[in-house]
Amino acid sequence: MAREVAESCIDSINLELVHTYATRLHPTKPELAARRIEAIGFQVGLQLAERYTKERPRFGDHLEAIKFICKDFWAEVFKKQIDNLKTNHRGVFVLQDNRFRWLTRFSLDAPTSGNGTSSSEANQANSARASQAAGQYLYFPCGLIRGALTNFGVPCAVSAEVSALPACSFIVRIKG
Amino acid sequence: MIVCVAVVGQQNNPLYIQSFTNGDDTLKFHYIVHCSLDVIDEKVSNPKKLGVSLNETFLGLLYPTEDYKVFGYLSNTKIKFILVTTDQDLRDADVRNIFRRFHAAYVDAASNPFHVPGKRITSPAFAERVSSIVKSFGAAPVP
Amino acid sequence: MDQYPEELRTPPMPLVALVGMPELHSAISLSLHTEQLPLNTLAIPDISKISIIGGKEKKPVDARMPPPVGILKADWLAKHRTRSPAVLAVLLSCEQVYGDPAQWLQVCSNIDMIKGVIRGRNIKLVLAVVQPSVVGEMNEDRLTALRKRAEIDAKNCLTFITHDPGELKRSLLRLGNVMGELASMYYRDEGRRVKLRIEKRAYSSTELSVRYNFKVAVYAEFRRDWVTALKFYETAYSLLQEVITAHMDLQPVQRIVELKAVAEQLHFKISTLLLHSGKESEAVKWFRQHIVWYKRLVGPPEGAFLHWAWVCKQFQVFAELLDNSLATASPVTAGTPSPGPPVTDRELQPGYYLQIAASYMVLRRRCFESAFATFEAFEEEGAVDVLAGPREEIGPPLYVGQAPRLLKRGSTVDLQSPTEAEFMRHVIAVEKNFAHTNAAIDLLTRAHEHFKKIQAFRMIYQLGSEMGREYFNAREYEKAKRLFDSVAEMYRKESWVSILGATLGYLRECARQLGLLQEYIEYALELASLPIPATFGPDGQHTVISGPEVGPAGPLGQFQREQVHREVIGLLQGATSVLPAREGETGMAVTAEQPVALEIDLVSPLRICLSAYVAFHEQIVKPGVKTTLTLSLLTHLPLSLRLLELEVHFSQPQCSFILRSSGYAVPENRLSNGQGEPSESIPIRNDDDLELQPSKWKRFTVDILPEQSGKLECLAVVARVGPVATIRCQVEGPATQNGIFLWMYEPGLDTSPVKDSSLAYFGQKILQVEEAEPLVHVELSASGPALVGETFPVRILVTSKGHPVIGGELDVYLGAPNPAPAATPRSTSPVASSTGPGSAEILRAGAERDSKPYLKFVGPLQVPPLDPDEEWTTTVYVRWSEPKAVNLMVLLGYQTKENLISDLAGSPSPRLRVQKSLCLLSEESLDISYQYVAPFRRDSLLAGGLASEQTKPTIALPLDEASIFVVTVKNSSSLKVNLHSIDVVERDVEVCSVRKAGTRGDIGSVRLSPDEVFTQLFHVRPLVASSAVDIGAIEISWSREQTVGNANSSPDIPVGISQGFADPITRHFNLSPVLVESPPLTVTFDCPPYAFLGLPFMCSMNIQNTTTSLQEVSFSVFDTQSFIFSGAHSDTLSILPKSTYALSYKLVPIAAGMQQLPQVRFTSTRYNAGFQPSSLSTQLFIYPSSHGVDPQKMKQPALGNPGIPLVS
Repeated sequence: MAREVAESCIDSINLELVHTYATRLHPTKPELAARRIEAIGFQVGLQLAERYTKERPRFGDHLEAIKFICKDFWAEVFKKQIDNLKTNHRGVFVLQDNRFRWLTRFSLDAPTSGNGTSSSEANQANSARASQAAGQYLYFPCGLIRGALTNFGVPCAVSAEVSALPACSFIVRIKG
Repeated sequence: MIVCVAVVGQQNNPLYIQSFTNGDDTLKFHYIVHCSLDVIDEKVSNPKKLGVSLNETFLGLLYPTEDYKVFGYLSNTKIKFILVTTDQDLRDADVRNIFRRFHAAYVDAASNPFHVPGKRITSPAFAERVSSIVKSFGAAPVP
Repeated sequence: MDQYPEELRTPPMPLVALVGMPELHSAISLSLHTEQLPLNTLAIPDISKISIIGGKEKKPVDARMPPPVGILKADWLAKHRTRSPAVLAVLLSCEQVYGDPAQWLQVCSNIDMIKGVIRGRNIKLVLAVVQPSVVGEMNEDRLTALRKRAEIDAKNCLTFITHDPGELKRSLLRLGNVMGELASMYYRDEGRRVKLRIEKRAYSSTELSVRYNFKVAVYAEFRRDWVTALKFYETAYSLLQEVITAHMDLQPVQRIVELKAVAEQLHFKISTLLLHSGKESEAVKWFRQHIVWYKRLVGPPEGAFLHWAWVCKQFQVFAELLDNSLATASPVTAGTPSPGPPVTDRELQPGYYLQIAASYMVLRRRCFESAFATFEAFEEEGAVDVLAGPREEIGPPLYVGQAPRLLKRGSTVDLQSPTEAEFMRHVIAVEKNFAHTNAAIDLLTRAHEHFKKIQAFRMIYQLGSEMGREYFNAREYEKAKRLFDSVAEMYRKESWVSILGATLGYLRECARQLGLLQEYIEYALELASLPIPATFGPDGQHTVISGPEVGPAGPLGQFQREQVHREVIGLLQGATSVLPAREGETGMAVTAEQPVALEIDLVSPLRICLSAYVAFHEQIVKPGVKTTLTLSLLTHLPLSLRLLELEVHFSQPQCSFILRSSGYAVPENRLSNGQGEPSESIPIRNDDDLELQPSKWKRFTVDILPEQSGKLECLAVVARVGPVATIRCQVEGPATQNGIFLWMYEPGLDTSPVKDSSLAYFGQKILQVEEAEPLVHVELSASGPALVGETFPVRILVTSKGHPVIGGELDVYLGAPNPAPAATPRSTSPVASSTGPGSAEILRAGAERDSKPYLKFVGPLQVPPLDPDEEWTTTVYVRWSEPKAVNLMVLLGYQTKENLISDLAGSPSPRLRVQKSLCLLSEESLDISYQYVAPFRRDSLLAGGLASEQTKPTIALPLDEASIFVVTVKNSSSLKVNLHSIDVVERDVEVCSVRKAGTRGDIGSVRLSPDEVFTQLFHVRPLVASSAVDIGAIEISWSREQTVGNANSSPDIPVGISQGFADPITRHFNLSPVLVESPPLTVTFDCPPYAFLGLPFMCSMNIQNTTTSLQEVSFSVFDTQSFIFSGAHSDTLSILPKSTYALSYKLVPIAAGMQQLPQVRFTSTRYNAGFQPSSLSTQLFIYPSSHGVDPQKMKQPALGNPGIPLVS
């Protein structure tokens, strides 16, 4: 029953998803667009979680579920594992992907500052622009994580940060 | 023989419940399945006492009623699968296998993009598949 | 369990008998009872009563004997425990034994009699000779003779000492030991004897086998040999099964009852033994088998209830056993796994069995009811229950499980046994008096207690349902309803719709029986609205949920829902009435006398029947502005529901309205009765379509015109279903999605109350209505930029555009010049501190009596009452002390007349507010600069000025010399400014005198255009040498160019606004202190005012030494191309004190025009300071020829700087 599609289709559909909601349907309401994209990711996350845990014992605690997201789940969806997992042991987990697949093809317009100026400043400006531009492509993966964790009985809120393309980190805050 | 299968959601709400008897006793199975949720709760809350190997999805025999045996299975996503059988002696391995197939059918049904997670399953394909699993388990005569 | 006789319930204790010496019996009994192996004592006071322990002689067993009429003798167990002792102890006093021969003979005959009694029954004999003390009469011969006569061993013949406590104790112990041993021996012997009989198989019937095995087991139990006992009980049990299998076909009820009674007894023993040895799992498994095996033995249908009663009892007893065992025994040890399915935790719960027992109790009742009906139908007239006859005619059964005997009938068991019909009549009569319901409820209650301990809530609710059903059956509708109500809550919570449906069916029926119309309707509505799933049967067909548990609602399904729907809606519409609960009564109906008003709040289970959502399309509107509201209604009733009217209620009642179905004519009586009908004043909108389709949103989009400011919340809708039936439903916002609990899990529904997704997320049921738009206009006007220092008038014009203004107050304050006005006007203080105090202030024209023309603005201005279209104006002034942009904010608060009236009525009277702001820019009017200039062509060497050159450039002036002070005024504003005067106000005339240069005393009024410059010269003569001479200040008086009457220049400014500009403004400008010192050397440059090309002229520099010492001055002359001259280019001069040295050159110009004279630089050796006249003062105009130039005039000082006299 393994039915597969080309990876480029997934890339395109992600692009088109963001475009449709953010530009076409709700150009004036970015918040609504974000919510709807996240909701789609949420449902996909729920369903994938169901499938990927089919043959494994139940998780004992939240950390096990998070680790599953970092390893197996990420590997299934993005063909690599999360590179770094940090936690404050009080319900906040930071999942860092140094080369997030959906951001690898992401490019920005040439930086406005000339190439002669100090590189650190330019970098800073660039990363700010990058996170702004890439942010809306991360609503879906955020929803994906939240959906999977919610299905494991870990209610949480997930947000994303882009530091330097194509690296990004997902911040999971467990509720309650 | 399996007389009733049920899928119960995270909020302990029935997602799918189907009995396979000819008699007019459907509601009885609803009661049985509902009460078996208590046993699942007990097993999950103190697994050691009840000798369930830690966190295994298959929960084994939940309890027998006078006429039936109730088996349980709890997925990672807190979806409960419950089987009611008439057989007195069943090997755990067989039941476990049934649950596996049952779970797989559920995963496929739940992955349908038109299925809204958490809602009752009305997919005829799922019903069909469950029905065929039940039939394949052997149609022992009703006592 | 309590119904079992004592001998069955407790483990048997060996029985011994005492005879003789009755005064010692109680002490011995007590002692025996507290032995390690306790013994029960049968005390026979008199030897003559010895026969009571006797029994019939044992007959040898013979295979030819007919099979016994029963299996276990009913009294056998009791006999062995109470009447048939294992040991007989004969107590003989020493007097009797050692006394005279007559006594001895009596003893011997007694012993013979005893021997006769116990012969053939193996009862062991003990002889005890009682004597008061150890030392006493002893007659060994007599004792031996006694022993021989009694045929017992020496150890069984003891001496019993009574009068020494220690010895008594020892004697008792000895007696106990001997008797215990003998008892044990007795039971073993008896057991062996019976066992032998089994082994020999000298009989044909299995029944006897059962009996013998039972006996062996009991004997073993007497010996506390539990293992053996268990083994033989089990054997008996399995042998009994053989008996049953052999006679399964068409057994009469009595026979089956007997067999099951025996089985029950055996099983009870087995269970007890297993549980006592801590083998719970074994016991459970044994019990399982027991039930599986015997459950089938229903027997003839008329006696089925007896069977179920029996099964019920099995469960109940086992539960009790388990409960006792769990209460006493240690926790379950994980025993070795035994064959068969594992025992689940649930099966170790007594509640589990009690619940099943209850279900059998119900079955028992049902079977009895049908059996009773048949029985009644076929019962002969006048038949009597012979078994219920007089006590003396009824004998107890001889065998376990058999019916009582009718003693009158004859002497043999066969004759005494009642017939089958008699038996049935009897048991039915007995069963008739049995309270099945109470028994079932008692069982369920006990199960409930047990499950409560393990917190199995769902099980508890199921038990609740079962109890409810029992109460319902017993027509105790109140109790049933209370139970069902509580369990319905649970099933609602977990969305177990099918079970909930059955529960609601019961509840509806209870309500009908109890005559509760409203609740009947509520239950019916909920029942009709349930999402009963369309189950797919194995063949894919649509089925209903059925079973005995569905109750009065009937099988659950779409058809049933529709039926319930039609019935209840008909009821609400007043078309039908409820079926009466009892015959001869009228059914409930909805009438004008008994109207129905249902209430559906936000947590009501009836929300599935009707729920309402509203979303205002806007979140904030102004009063009087139309806004749109989407009202969405949803019903899950199975059929469409036509509403007659729909009232929509708001928190502001004037917004409420009614949607009325166009076909609905309001009945007259409703219009006339008036009470409770506030709707008469509500606007009515006709709507054709008020029909709600099942599970489909009905959306109305209506316009709302809020008029009052504040919150406008949609509260509820009231749907009129029938003429006197309404459903009031609280509304929710579209974002609250948890509303439709039970349908939440139903797929394929349009869940969003509104179509627009943005409205669905952000829509609110509350509308914020802003304050009314004030109908008063406030206008601020000012004339362009202001100038620093002037009193800048700003005119405020208040014009009423429709509102009368009452109690108006005008507040004026300055704020930071940000474009947005302050958010809440009142919150900021009137004088905004952000601009900093002093940079600008608000003034107000002083009244006539005030000394000052302008007063600082404090507090709000009172605005006189204005009628509509009136206007009022006032002027405030702003004065800046530095150029800065400020925001002048004006806040007008007022009330309208209507508000005043409503104020009296007690309702709050909101003040309307108008805020206006005007950004005002101020500019510096004049740019003032000044400089000091030395006299023309006269330079002084000022050492102090030079010396301080490195540190800071201080202006140095020569002492007592008239320096020139130049004040330059530039108009830096964008306006024309009239300059009235420029003066220097001296600080101290003695220190420094200043006088205006030139002849004109007053400059009058000079008009300066923007960027125009005006220069005024002064002579400054410092009179005191000091390092810091404060000369004074420049005083400038100016005013803005008057534009009165000039409409073109500033059309915005109304007439009279510029009155503040008329007064001249005086500004002081302090001069910084200067250094004044007396110069040691002064160089005066002297040359003609002009020269002619080619004509030589003289130029001289007079160096004056004002000191009293010789000064050396060196100089150097730099060539220029315009002149040729002769003389030294550089030299050092010595100048005598107080004398002047003239350095002269003759120059010939060789170029025409303004030419630079050769520059001379002087350096004072003493002061080591050089100075050079400025190049400007050493320029000279060269005429190309002398033609036309009057040489005479050359003597006159001409051109430039007329005010500066040349010093020669």
